[in-house]
Amino acid sequence: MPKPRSNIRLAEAALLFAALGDETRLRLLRQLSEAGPASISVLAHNFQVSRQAVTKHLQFLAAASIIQGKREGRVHVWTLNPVRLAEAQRCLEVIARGWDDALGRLKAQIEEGI
Amino acid sequence: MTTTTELTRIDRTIEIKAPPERVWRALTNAKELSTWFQMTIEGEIATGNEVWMTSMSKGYAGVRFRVRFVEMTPPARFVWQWHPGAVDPNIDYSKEPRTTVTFTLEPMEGGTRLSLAETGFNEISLARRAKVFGDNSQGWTEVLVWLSNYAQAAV
Repeated sequence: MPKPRSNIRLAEAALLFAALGDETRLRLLRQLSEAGPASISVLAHNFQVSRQAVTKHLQFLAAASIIQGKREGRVHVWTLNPVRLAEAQRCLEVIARGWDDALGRLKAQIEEGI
Repeated sequence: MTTTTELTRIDRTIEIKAPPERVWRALTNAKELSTWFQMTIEGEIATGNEVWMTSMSKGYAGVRFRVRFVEMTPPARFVWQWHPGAVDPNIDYSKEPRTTVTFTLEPMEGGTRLSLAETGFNEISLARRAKVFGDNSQGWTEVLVWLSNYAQAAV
């Protein structure tokens, strides 16, 4: 089997990619990436969408663990979760290594008649 | 071998010292595919067909994958779709999105250049990307770059 695919990590990665499949969420992530942690009020103001809409998107991203919220005094602040993003990347690297092995076997099979 | 792994796709290119026709046979003949891919294959490898592949490799023996053959253009393009990570027998993956695996064969001096791409790890349509980043930008690529830079720098 060329792809040692861990079902848990891949399921999580699928959730990550789904979470990224929305323009508002992408913009929110970009903002959090470039400008650092922010509150719902700041995000809603920047994107000129309702606080309710921003909350919904933030919850989706939090469910995929792409961002995490924490309370700072009276304000709830959202921040990117870099570990999560790195996990998704590693997950694909595992699949890619599976392909490297498989293609190596293919080449040997053809060239050496194995 | 050239390698690329982004957050949404995998690309590999290798050179094989054999003509495309020979490489094509290794890709599409069930017995040959079964050997290097380390899977048993139930069903016929033909355009439009769906087959079960069962892993024979160490640590994954018995894991089954539903594979649909989308395109077979000998000896140049072989495309299939499957469910990434569809390894939990208790989950019905039939409605979930599949990734697409494309083998491209190009003749070169002394053999064949074989490219592999597995795509579809994201489901962001081109239209949506264009809308987000403007028609003239490589929007999604940019997102991946900043996301992965952020991830690498911070971990």
